[in-house]
Amino acid sequence: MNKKLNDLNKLYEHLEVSPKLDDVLREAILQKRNRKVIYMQKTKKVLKVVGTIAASLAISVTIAANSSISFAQALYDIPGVQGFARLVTFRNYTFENETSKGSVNTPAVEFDSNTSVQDKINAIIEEKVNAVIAEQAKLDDEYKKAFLETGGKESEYRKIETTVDYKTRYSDNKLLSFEIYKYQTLASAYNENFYYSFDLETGAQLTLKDLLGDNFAQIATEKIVGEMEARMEKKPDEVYDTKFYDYKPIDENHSFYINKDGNIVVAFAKYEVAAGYMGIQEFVVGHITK
Amino acid sequence: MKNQLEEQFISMLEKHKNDFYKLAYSYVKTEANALDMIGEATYNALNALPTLCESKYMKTWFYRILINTCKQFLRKNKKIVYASDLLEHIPTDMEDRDELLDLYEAVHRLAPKYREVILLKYFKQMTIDEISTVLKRNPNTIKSCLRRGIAKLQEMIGGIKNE
Repeated sequence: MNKKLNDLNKLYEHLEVSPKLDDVLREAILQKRNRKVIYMQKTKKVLKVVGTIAASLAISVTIAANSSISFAQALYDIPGVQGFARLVTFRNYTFENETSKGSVNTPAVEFDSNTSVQDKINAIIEEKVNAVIAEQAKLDDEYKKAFLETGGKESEYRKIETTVDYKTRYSDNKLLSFEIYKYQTLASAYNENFYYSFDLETGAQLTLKDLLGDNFAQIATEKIVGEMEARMEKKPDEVYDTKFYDYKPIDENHSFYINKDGNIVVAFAKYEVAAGYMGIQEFVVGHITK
Repeated sequence: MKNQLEEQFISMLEKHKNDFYKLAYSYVKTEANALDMIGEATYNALNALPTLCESKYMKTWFYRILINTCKQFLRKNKKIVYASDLLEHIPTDMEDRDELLDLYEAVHRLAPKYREVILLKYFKQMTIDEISTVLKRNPNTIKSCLRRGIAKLQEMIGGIKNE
């Protein structure tokens, strides 16, 4: 009998493990993490649900791309692998006052191998987010005043809804590139995107000059004009301003980010180089060298 | 510090996830149930992680959480009899497949307290000491449960053969 019972272990050995195991584990860990952030902020219950759904949506995209790697690695892969810097939601809240309402997702960088760099970047993020919110409050105030002065009634006033959020663009152990953006209902002209790329060894904010060299303006301009012409060839209806550099040359502070493939992408706000309806314009101007 | 513990937990989980899954499976009988148990136990363990004093006992600690999650589930769903889907998860060309599946089914017909120790001892191949730590019970109690369980099993199987 004991011998036969011992053979039960063969069943144990041969039992196939469910292919969904990794997903389940990942889901459980993320659920816990999200809840932690939200408990801290005491946000409303609705948001908690939204947060979880949003997170699981974002995750399922990653699962599709990396279904073969282990769940732990996939977890760290969402923002970056261990040892890499990653962005996490640091504060998440909604607000509503007499003139406006909205929601804010403030990111914070987690970078264990160099906390002084981490703190430095976080100070910059916090300052930016606060500035964006303060500016928005001013704009909303002016908008409401104008609305009332031009004969609008208080009861008909519709609050502008503002969302401030972030997106990780690239991360490894040397570089971190991300975007903080603000978008609005009713007034899309006020949408703004702020791009940041950091050297994680020094904590310095990178510029196009750091990545492309002293000749950066020429390199970038040539690439951009070339790409504009190629795009116009394909879609003649969409017209670009190929002489943008005459009045607004590419300078050291021009907006750019690094995408997940390591490409350096220069971004132009709406209206800057093309018709407004065409939205934000992005052009690859180079690749990071490792 | 807190994050370090969490990362340690996640890598422990990664390392032993298959064992955890198989153990849960032996309690709750189906793939879907086992996945539920793993998810719930992981979530609960992460929340309770700060109360874990010694990280070297992490694995045993998680086994305990997982087993309790399974038992709670079985208690709550006492009236539902889950048919095991083990047949679908064992390769058809395995040696002695049918005989072992019959034995496994027989073990599952035992009362929970016997079934548990037999599965931990023979299916999972834990030592008496390990079982006693995980279940927080005296090793002698485990041994006598095993003896009685085996006797009942023999009766059951013998009974079938004699008919």
